[in-house]
Amino acid sequence: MKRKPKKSQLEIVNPESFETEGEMNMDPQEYESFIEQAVTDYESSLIGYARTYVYDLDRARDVVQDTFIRLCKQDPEKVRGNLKSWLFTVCRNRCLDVLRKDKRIEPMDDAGWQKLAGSKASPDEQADHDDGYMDVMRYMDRLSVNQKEVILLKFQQGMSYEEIHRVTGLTSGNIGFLIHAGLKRLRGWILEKGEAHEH
Amino acid sequence: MNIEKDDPRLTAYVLGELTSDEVKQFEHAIAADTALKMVVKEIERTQVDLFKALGSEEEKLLPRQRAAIMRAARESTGANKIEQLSSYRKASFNVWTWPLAAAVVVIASLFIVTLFPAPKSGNPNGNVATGTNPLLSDEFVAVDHRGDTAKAIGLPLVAGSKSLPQIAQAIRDQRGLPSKTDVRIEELLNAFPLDVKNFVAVWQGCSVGIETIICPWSPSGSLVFIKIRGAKDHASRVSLEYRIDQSSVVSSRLLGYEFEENSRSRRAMPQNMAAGSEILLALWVESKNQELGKLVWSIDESPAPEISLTRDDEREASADSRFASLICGFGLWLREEHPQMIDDALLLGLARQVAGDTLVADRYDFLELVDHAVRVKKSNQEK
Repeated sequence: MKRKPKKSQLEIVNPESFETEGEMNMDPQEYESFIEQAVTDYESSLIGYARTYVYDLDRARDVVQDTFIRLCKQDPEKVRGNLKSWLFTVCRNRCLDVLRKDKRIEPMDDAGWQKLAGSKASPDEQADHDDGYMDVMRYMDRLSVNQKEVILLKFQQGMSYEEIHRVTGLTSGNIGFLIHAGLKRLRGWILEKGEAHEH
Repeated sequence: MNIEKDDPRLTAYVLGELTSDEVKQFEHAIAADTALKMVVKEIERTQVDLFKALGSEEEKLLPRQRAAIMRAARESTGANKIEQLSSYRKASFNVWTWPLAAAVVVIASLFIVTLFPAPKSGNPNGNVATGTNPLLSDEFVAVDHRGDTAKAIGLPLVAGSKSLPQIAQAIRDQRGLPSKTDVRIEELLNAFPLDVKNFVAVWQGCSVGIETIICPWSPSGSLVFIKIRGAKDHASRVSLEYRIDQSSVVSSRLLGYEFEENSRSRRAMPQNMAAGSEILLALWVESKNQELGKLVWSIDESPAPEISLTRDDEREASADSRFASLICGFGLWLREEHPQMIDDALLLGLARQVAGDTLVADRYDFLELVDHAVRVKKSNQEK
């Protein structure tokens, strides 16, 4: 008997309210400043976000570049009010496209997380951060895909429930429940690890 | 207010997601219930741990990616706003093309370039001039196969940026093909963040990357892509020259950099590369074997080791070089050069090859433009 392929919990969100491609009425210099400012403000957080999907810094950068190039095709007046949500929605959709093409939506091993942990100021800080990051990401992979996604948007990107709703299409009530339940499970694993260390 | 210990609103309270009225109610309830206080503390601890572990990374886009975004932004504002380098271009070629022309005229040829017709009459030296106006950089540079001194092409370090939006405007808005003078292959090549790194040489903080592939429209030929990067933190004076291997090379051509025939200005070719700047060049070389010659270069008057150019037919072309060859093919197709080699079918074939790669938005957009151009051409022919 053929098994149905498991459907991913992650769905492309059509940013309906953001579909604004068309005439651009802004002064060209002002427009370029708008794009430049958007890149400055969001490039790092978008790269961090994309990395949690595509697990590769170079690829994450490509996705983010692509996201900003898509921004260049929008009417700035229409995305300005929701810029952050628009960028994260498009970035998320591009990540899912990339993963779908690679047929790769699976958790990463320790070596991969170690690579992703990134560089920090001093060796001690680096080691502490790397350990913490790797632990948390290992635990994250044990959460449901939706739990992991909303927790990353909340704690890595500092988004409100409303912004997360715009990016993921989940309702605020659902987001609240997913974060609450996810944090509870994470806390349990963190405590378990702490107790294991003490023994 | 009755709140369960497992109420998701407790997390929302800690995360500042409740309304001010709800916050007041929760504060009262929590103050009156030790078990709720403990739950809130646990959530706060987890929150702190997560913020600490997931704290924002400071990874940035690469300069070339940032530049590509800003190019896209400029294109969105219209072609007229794009920086124009035409006057610069007009001036810049004469210094090295006029002497070259003089040399070519003096050494007329007996050698006949097999693929690209050249004048058959010439002087007894047996050298060949290449067409009616050898000064045009888009003409093939003649090669003296019997001489001792190699011919050379000085390579430019600047490219404008207005050609792609002009072409796009003509095809998409005016439903026609652009005028040939608007088609600048060097500008098209540098409108995309392309890299070549089969071989990379670094000298004095600058680098030259090379990739050589079989020419898609002339299998006996090669396309040589050369990426020059200035030093990251300071401007450099760069001199770069392609020296042709006379024993092997039949003809060679720097793609792009057409200039106006009547221009007689002799302003020097700029040799300065700003910090972090880069340029991609393409050479089309027809040769008898895989030896194509060498690159001779220097940075700030300090000579770098020469780079041999050879074609490796076994090596698979990178995605970037495939895309670059599509750009060159599209440019030549628009300019109606070598139509017997570069026809609609070949162009669409190149586009299909590229479409197999994972495409970012600007490349996808370019494929659409190519497709659109072929349809516009057919439609205009049918009228």
